[in-house]
Amino acid sequence: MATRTIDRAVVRRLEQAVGRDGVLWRPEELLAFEYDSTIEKALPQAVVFPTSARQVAEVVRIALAAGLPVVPRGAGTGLSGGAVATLGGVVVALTRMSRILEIDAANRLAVVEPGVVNLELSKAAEPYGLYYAPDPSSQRACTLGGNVAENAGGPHCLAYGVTTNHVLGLEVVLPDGAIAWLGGRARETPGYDLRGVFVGSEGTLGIVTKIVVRLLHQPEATRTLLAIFDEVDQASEAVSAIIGRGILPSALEMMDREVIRAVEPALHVGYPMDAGAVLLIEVDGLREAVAEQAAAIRQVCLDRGAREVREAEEAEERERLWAGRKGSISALGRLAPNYYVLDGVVPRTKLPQVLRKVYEMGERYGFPIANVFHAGDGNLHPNVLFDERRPGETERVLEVGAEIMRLCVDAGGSITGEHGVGYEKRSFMEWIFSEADLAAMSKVKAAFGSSELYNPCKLFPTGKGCGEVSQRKIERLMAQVGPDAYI
Amino acid sequence: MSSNALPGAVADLEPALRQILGDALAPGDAACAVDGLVPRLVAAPASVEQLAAALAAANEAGAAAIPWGGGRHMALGNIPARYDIALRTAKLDRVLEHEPADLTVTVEAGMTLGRLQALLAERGQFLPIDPPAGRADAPSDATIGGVLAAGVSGPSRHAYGLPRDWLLGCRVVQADGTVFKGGGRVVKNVAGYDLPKLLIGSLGTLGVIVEATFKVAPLPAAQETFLAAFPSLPPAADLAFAADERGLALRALALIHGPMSTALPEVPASGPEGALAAGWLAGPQAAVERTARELAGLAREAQTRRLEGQQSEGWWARLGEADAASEASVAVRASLPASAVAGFMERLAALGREAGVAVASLSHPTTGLVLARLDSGRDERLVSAIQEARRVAVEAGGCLVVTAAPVAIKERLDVWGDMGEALPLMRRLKEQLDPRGTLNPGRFVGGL
Ligand SMILES: Cc1cc2nc3c(=O)[nH]c(=O)nc-3n(C[C@H](O)[C@H](O)[C@H](O)COP(=O)(O)OP(=O)(O)OC[C@H]3O[C@@H](n4cnc5c(N)ncnc54)[C@H](O)[C@@H]3O)c2cc1C
Repeated sequence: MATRTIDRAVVRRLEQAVGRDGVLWRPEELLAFEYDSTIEKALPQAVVFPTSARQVAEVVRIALAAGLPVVPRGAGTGLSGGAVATLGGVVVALTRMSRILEIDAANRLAVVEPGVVNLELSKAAEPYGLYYAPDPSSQRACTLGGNVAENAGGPHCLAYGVTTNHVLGLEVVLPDGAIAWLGGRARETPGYDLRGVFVGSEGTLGIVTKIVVRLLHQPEATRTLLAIFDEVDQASEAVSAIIGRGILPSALEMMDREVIRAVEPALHVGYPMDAGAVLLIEVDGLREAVAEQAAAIRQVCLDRGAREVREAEEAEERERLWAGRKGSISALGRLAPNYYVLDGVVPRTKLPQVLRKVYEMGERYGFPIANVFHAGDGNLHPNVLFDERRPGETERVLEVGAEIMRLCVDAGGSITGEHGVGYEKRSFMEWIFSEADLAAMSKVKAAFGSSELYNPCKLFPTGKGCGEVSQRKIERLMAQVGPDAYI
Repeated sequence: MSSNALPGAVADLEPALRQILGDALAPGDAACAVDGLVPRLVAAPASVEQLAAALAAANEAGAAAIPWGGGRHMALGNIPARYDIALRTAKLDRVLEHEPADLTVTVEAGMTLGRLQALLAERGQFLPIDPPAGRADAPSDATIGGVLAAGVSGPSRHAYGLPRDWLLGCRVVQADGTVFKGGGRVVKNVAGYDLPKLLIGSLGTLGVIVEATFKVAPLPAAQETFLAAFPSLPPAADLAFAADERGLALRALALIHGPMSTALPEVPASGPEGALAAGWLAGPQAAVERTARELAGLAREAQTRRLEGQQSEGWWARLGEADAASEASVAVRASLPASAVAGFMERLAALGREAGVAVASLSHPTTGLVLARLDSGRDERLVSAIQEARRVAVEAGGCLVVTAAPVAIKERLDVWGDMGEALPLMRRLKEQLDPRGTLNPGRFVGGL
């Protein structure tokens, strides 16, 4: 790949804006910013670390005046290539804007800078008996700014909602460098809900510089169950039966045989090696409510053929059950040198049939597929296990990935439930959106004053010079997020 | 926004619309008036295609169209700059998809909320959106599209959040007749921009919502109502926040201050400065029983009452009607940080006393929503009371919208208030989606 260089005069201007220690531009310094957690890579021409909204605005103006693309970046844990500088340009890294500015316990909200790591906010809120609900599995590493940009979810989003349900207000630097507040500290503001459309815009509409989020009370009681099934079909039917019965657990996660085979020998959490699938189910709330729900869930699982339903008696046991879930992705490394994480959604009632087809496809292509996912909301994460050193294998993995996405779409679902479209899935957008739908999105982008230079080649299916989705390299994930990260 | 309306072109519109709509086109009548303006024509298309074609023709001709759902929240908004055609959505009322086990439903947006709730109830489900009833003299009940466009919500927001948390996707007809959709039909989805969010509360200025997909919820196993009347507001507010703090099984918590409480049924007496705290208990039976016990413990100083069954349901429906403004009165809604709610309600009452304005207010305190009604024979008093109330709301970190007012009042203020730095962005959005200002011109923020 040709290395793009940067005009020294532009570097000087950037240095004037954020200080000399806030700009990287030598190629060797830029290497660490070539990736996010996907397979895309591209070298930016500079990486800038602003410390205030005004600096962000200044940097954006300088970059655009120089005709350079602008790419916002949080922790780089994204799983769709969103923070990769596909066409080069200036990466605006928000990691130095990492202060928790305020925890307003009376109003159960917090005001934070975008570089705050997700888990840090819940830790800071803990003394007040509060927590921040959206818990992406990368929460030890990913930033709240990145969560806003991707509208991130997590295991406990089933009952409490994803990022967009928790964001009240955003201070943003618009593509023209103007600073504006969208939303605020109250639950609603008059006018168009611009904060609503900004959440999940994947860094294409501007850069978030402050976030007002809601915090929730820690629940009085929590109960965690592990339901063990001989067949994956039984487990997925139990999922839709639980939801169909009107029970909404706070988490409802599934791990299949392949995942159990990886997890149990590594972590010894007590998942039976001969099980076809396990469901990890959690309910929380008032003691009386969770007791009733736990009993109902147990019954539904047994009715659907569960071999056994265990319940964690103590915190320690509960953590052990979760450790298996959280350690599942890193454990997959035991089964194959590489794995490719997919993210699709199907209506919950379609889970059994779609999962069956996913396995069939794996067989047809000759790849084992390990499924560990947010079953309660139909959000699949099939992991395709492969070895990139075998010639042609990566390409075939991408093919099976595309077929599985197509399967989700045909079942009435979506091409992404939480990881975003990014660079990776732009070409699938046309499967679910018509020309008119995409045109409406383009109009929104135009209204924000965004352009081809603003995080180019992301989210929209077409873009000048973006090329075909190709040149992929699938590896890692775990480096930044620690050994017990989970997806 | 500049108007491209040519009187000639608008005059030619009628035959064009007749061709598209046939009998579904009628002359304008007072039932479709907005702020006293009566449209020349009323169109009631029977399909999305028909609606799109009619709107495109209106747009082409430079005419102004106002989408009409049930007419319940038509008092909201500034006075229209122009108004040629009422575009009724009532015939778009089909269920397109309901898979109970998925807890999702897709309907056409002209369906009334009441009909959707009845349909869901048959399967033990409901959509936790329960907006105030709005104008009692409206031609029909509130429609899904109207409720979304008006951005209204009610008591259940305490436990269930806002309509924005339940709308998964929608289809929209743009002013030029283009039909687009945003979001999807599954409960989790981050593909593309979240366009449905933009439509909620947009008052039909970006497009006509013709179809909506919602997440729905199972009906709670047990429900009942707890009322506690106090001699003043602060202890009532304390009760509400204490109940919330304990995470009790409550679907709603409301505070009622001033004369509104006497208009409600079953309310224990509480004196002239009195206030009422109301809790809507909901959840598994055991959790509801415990909640009732704890509420009783918290309300020892109050006059209390428990309502069950139909009486309980009905009470919350009546609450939704209680804040409806009469023709002559003004209704406002303030959205505030929760901790500012009780103070704001007290400030409103004081303001009323100082200015000689009768004030009644109700709030959903945990989610910061205050609805108030202001009555006075003197317009200038009302205007200054509204402005003062808005100042207080803004100072507390919130905002205040006038949701209903006589034309004479609307002429003297912006019902939405100041949009700040976000206004240019909102203007550009409007220009992108409705460049000719065909939909609801003048009614939205900043004169959009
Ligand atoms: C092991 C692992 C587990 C994961 N589990 C989950 C999960 O359970 N749920 C889930 O939803 N995701 C998950 N992810 C994906 C990822 O962590 C999330 O998408 C996260 O929100 C990305 O945050 P980040 O700070 O790393 O953002 P980055 O990867 O740096 O950026 C992501 C996108 O956000 C934009 N962006 C970043 N900061 C800003 C800002 N301040 N303003 C505007 N745009 C900005 C970027 O341009 C890019 O488009 C997982 C990832 C890994 C590696």
